[in-house]
Amino acid sequence: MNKEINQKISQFLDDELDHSELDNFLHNIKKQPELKSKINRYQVVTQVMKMDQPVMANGSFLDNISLQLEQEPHHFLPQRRKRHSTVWQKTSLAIAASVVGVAVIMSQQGAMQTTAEPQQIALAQPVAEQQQAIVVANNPQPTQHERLKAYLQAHNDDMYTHGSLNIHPLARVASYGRD
Amino acid sequence: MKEQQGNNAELDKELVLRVQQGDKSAYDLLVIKYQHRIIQLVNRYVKDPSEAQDVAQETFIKAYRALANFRGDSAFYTWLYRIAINTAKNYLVSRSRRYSDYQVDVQDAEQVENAPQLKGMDTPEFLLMNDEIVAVIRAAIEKLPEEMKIAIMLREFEGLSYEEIAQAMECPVGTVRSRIFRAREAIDEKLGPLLG
Repeated sequence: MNKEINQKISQFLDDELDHSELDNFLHNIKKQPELKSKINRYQVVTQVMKMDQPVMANGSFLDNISLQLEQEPHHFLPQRRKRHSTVWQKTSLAIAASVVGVAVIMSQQGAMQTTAEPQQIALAQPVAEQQQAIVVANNPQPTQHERLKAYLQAHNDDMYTHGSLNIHPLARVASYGRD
Repeated sequence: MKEQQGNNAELDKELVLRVQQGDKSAYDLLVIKYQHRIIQLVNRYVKDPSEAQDVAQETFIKAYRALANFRGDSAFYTWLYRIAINTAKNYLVSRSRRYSDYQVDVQDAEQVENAPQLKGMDTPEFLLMNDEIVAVIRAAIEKLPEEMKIAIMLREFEGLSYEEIAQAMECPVGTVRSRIFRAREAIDEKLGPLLG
């Protein structure tokens, strides 16, 4: 039995111990603490073979560490999130996919705008200065246009109603040149 | 070789997982497995075997405390190696400060000079014992049957996996496993009385 365990120690140190054997191996080490001395001696052999001037751990190395760690709390794994139901997983996946889809569409639109603008600028640049005034005249701000229209209309109404001297209604102003 | 390193990392991760789940004996195994390597590494920095023991101990304690944050992105030994180097560097900084403080007081300086001897690591007895261990192991290796000697040397010097050794020696993996184990047992038979 001991021979078998010792062989497992040899395999463990060579990283040739199978994962499935690890539990049993740990159990044996716990049951027979003297096996730790065996592992240590095997390790000393390795060090002497590998190094010209090996510096080895003294006999109380592990004991000193164990003594200090006795006072330490266990270092548990960080709490993992509980697994949600598959329905919730699917729903959240669908929401995530939708959000990603919207983000992609928006970014594409943004990209199209940013790619279109330079072309427009490049084409319009030679006549930009000439057209600027026309563009402003043809495309006034809607609110401004409405405000102006309302103002003229009010002026027109007022002129027709009160008939002030030397002030012509809008219809007359607009047709002034034709007279 | 790569497969072996992979297995090494995986086995260590299994042990780390068990420590994280509260099994301190799994940490003992990690300490035993890497203690000599860490002491050797630290000694390259501190250049004092006695101090290297203390710094290496501190390394393992620091590593234990930080183990909850170990996520396995790198191999455990790589992670431990970094902690060891940082601990050794911190130690060197504190030692240089300590020595500069002690230089003010001659009496204290003498105490520092004698400090390693008080710990019994650099004593003639210890050094003699160390030399004796090395001599016994080397003599035992020389006396090993040829096949065992080759198997263990390929493993220890060349770092070959059992499978690679099996290919090199043209024998089954089980035979390699057995040869290496028997070689260790034969050496341990001579070493046991010295180390207990």
